[in-house]
Amino acid sequence: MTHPARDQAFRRLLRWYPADWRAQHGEVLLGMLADEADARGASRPSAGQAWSLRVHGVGQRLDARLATWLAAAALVTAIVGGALLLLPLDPGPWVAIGARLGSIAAPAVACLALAALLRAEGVLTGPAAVWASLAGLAAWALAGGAAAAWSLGFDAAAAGRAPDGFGTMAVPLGVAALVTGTAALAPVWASVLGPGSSGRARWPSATVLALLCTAAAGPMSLLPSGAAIAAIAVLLVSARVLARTRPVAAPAHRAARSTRVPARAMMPGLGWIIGLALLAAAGLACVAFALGGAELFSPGMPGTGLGDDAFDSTDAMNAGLAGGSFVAVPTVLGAGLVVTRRFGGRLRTRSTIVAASLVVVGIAIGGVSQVLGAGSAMQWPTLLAATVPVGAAVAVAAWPQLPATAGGRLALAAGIGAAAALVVGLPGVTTAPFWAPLLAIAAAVVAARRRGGRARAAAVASPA
Amino acid sequence: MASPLHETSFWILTALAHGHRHGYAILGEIEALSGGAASLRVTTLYAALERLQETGLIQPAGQEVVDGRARRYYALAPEGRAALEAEVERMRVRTSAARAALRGSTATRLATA
Repeated sequence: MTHPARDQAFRRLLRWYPADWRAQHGEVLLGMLADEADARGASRPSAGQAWSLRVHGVGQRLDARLATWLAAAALVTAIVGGALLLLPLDPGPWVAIGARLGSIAAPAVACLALAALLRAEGVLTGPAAVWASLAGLAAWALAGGAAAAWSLGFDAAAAGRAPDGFGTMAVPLGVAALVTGTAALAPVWASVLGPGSSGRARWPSATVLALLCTAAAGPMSLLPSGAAIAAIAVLLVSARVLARTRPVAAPAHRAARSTRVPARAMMPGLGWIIGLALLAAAGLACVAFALGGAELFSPGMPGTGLGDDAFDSTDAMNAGLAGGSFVAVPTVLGAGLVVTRRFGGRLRTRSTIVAASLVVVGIAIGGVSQVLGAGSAMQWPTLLAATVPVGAAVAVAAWPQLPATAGGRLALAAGIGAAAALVVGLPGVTTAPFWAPLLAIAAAVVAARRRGGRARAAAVASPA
Repeated sequence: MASPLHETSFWILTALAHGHRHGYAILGEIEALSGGAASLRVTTLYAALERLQETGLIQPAGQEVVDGRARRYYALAPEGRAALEAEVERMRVRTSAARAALRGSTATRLATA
């Protein structure tokens, strides 16, 4: 039985699927639809069938390529949002726009990217991915509304009047965002949990997990780094999926770049352990000076001979942090040698060495910003400049993992580097004096344990 | 042991255990085998066939055009047969346990009556 009008309607509905998919599967699916419609005696697609085709078609468009683009867009949005918050602009609309971009728009787009990636990897079915995307977008829109309502309410309270109208809607909108977000994530968790033997418990468990994740996503989104980290993770995974589906021959120069440095040349000996311990002590002394130096060398302190021009607490803090930053430079180098020795060949690549060197440069520039001091107009620009080598370090470390597509690899590396500069570089450089002593202690312990292990192994190998 | 099968996957693999089938025939076979309990949309079936093919549980078994309509045939892959056998074994263990429990409770009831 032939129904040209019906089959034409099916063809029109098939346009919801991507063109390359239609080219491969379109005629077969059309034949199945026509067979099934003949068996029902249907002269046109049913409403349910039409919606099913639309949803499956859109779901089929959620692939690794789209995930990559969406993750890149989320990353750029997070970077722009973060930059608007960090740059010394006049407070006002730019700060509000930066906050909305970083904590609402960027996570929303990152969620879309994640849904597309999970569909591409077969974790979610097409309809489940479409549902997760739409409900996720709605949840972030509601969260944005809740944040705006809370701001209005806060402004009203600060002005000494009771909030009214939209300003009172923060809680209901927040609850609606929580419920919608849970509804978006529940199918994701149900798919991840899979049809185990406790199949009946799958959906309640998935709902509880979705609720917890949604509740955690709210506070996480307030950090500009949250969406950027999620976007980078999706970018890296989707880029690898793309590379896997379209293998590109590795250029010859990549092999040269991953040439290993001889391990024995970097083996940490007793001198390294003592050196790391001394660096830990020096770093801790700098931190102590930063926190307590003003009291220690306060004007009039007996026996110090200091006059009124002695350190105040800001000077002491700057001096201590500057010293701590400069001590962090050899600390990172020494710890790097221990770590490369401990974790073997995977880390002993030229890209790792270049990345570590860039981190060290960033920390050193951070130290210079502390030398300039809190009163200097150059301190903040210098600190921002310090984040650049750290971002570049992350980009260099990620470079071998990125797909070698024309232009795409460089753009991906640039995006990852810019995000890493803000997300990792800024907090990492400013807190280097505090984490470096801990790193030195950890590296010294690892080196000592390895040294002890080697000594025991040598004793076993050559008994007296 | 292979991970448990989704219900749709279970019925598709069961239908193909009879031999290779084209898409619409699988749909009919599933409806018949399940006594109408499992009724799939064409779109759902096709998406599941694609997924099973990607995971290597089924494999293409040719294509032909009948009355102007394209028909793609599918067959059970060795991995699909193993997954179905594992699922059947899982069901057998559960069924045996439930039968034993029911027999025990019936015997207790009769003894106390």
